[in-house]
Amino acid sequence: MKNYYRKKKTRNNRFFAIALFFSLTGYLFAQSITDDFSATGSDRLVRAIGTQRSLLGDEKSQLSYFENVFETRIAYRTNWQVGVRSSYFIPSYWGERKVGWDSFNKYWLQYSNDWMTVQTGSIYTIWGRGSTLALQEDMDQGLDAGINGGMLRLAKGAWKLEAVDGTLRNDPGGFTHTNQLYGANLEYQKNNAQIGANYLKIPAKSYLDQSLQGGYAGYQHTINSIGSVSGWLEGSWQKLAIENNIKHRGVFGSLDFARKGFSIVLDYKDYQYNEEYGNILPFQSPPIVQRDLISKLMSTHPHLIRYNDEIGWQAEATYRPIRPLGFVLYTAQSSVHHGSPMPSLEQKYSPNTESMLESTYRYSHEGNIRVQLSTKQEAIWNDVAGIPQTWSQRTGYLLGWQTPLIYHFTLDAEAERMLTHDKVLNTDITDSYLSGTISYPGYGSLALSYDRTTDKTEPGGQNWFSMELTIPLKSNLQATFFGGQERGGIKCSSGRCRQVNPFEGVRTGVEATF
Amino acid sequence: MIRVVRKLALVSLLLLPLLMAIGAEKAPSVNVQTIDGQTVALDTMLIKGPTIVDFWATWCTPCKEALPGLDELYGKYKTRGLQVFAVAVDGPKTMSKVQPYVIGEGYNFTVYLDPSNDALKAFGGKSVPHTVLVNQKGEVVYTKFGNLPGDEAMLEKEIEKLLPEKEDKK
Repeated sequence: MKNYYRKKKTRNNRFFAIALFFSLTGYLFAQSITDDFSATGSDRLVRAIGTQRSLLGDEKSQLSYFENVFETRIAYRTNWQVGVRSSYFIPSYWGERKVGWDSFNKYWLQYSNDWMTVQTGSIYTIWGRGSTLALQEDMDQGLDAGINGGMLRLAKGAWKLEAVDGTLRNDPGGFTHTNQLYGANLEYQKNNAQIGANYLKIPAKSYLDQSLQGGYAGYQHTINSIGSVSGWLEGSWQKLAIENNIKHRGVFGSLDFARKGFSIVLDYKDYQYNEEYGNILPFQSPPIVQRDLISKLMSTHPHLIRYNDEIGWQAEATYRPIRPLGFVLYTAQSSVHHGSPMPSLEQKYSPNTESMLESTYRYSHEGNIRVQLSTKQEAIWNDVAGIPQTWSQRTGYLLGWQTPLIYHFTLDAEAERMLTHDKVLNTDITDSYLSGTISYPGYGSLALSYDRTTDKTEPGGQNWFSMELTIPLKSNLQATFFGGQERGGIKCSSGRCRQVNPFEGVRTGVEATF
Repeated sequence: MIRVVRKLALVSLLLLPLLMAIGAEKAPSVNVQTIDGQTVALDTMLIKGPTIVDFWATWCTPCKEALPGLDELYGKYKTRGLQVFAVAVDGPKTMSKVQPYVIGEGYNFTVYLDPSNDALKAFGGKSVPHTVLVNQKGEVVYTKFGNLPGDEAMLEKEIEKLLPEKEDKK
């Protein structure tokens, strides 16, 4: 058995070297011989050394990681495209280790013409707004919901058909699941109207044997003298093989109006999806109907979407009475289901409400002043005890100022304060954040930041200080240096959140495109 | 021997991007979506340029800070052939905010959607804002990671190099 693995490893190394040799030779050959070939790519290298503290308790451990993500795609005319990505991790920030042949984790071959696209390898695509299928990737979050398989897309007139078949590998919450899925989406689009229907089958492997069926409809209408109105309605239904009826579903709706100087968006959600491993299927990404980012401090305690039991809405309006002055007003509410289509504010339905008013005054090209006020209140009800498990109220104030200095230097300073009142523990916490960035066009920037909390239970201390230097070496080559302490917490993207441990140390990175 | 090969391959991989960063390259052939959901091939429109392709998102504050400058550049140079494509990488969760935001702000540049970030990755971007300038031959001649105050002045210098000379007033 040992010999078998040794042989396999040797073969892999040879293959790795040969593949690299041929890809380089092929690329150089293609560049020198003909204009029919084109190649693009990027590379990002990060090296960090330091210590991290666990979020639970106060354990300190060494953290050292090296990541190099190299991606290139070579196109022949406009029809053929081949791409490969190497993610070389020893290990990655998230602890994943990939070396040698294993690091070549993404590869694809695509042929396309006016009416057809065929792709094999790593596939990413979204149907509608992602309620049924959203094969997406967020490299910063270490989340990958793409599949390895095949995709066929046919387009004829107003009709578009897309079929996918493949295997998903991802890492939700530290587990590795392998999922097979196949399905198709049919879309019809004409005169600013769009309708679609889809079906997706997930045979039992790591997840339950199930299928998803969905549909969506969108329409946009513009009247030049008044403005533009558009709407979107989407739903998907989840049928588990072990259940007789469809008990799990999700509905999302959106309506917006916009004209020069004013816009408003209203979104609505009603989610009752099945959850396994504490989450919905990793290749589903229904709209979260709330902001991921309000401000640096206010976003450190995001509301975690309960995709299995949540209703809610959000409204966001922008108003620009004169060109230099702008306002944004945002508000959102959500709760668990309680027999009404609108969320409840009663504690026993675990309500979350958040609001924000932001204003920016741009007094010159490089000068502006920003003011933001925000509030957030969330209760999580404990059914067994009959009292709220957590109930917190947060208020945030932010002031930002960007101003030109001498010799084309610019200063961007931001100060934020967040007051948290815990209604269960009856405690008050104050968080403060200060940052200042001095930049010079073409030569980079130096950013200093200071983060402070009065919460004595916070892991990693109460004070965090850091500096980051960004230097563009060429227009397509940039280096960054970070030193200091980074606060831990929850980092969210696309409604999926991961715990980030507090970090203390140095980190350097190089990013290039070619 | 295997270790040496592996190390050489790794070093080559790491040096490759630095070597490749030296020359201008053709813009990749990728598709993006129009606001009303139509699929268009981005590279076929780049040859009408020069073109600024700016990847941004409604949830990205530095991205939104860069947009007024891009709109001004578009207003100033569009008669001389400059195109500005603001490609929103908003995924399904925020896609509905793109069009109202752009109309509300009164921007005049062209807006596209790239919800699966395929075009962003094809242009070598891993985060936003990510801005590239493509010349009339469809080659990427300038890339900008992030956004800093004064960056649009640097971009304007690069645009000036690509545009035909102004006609003398007679």
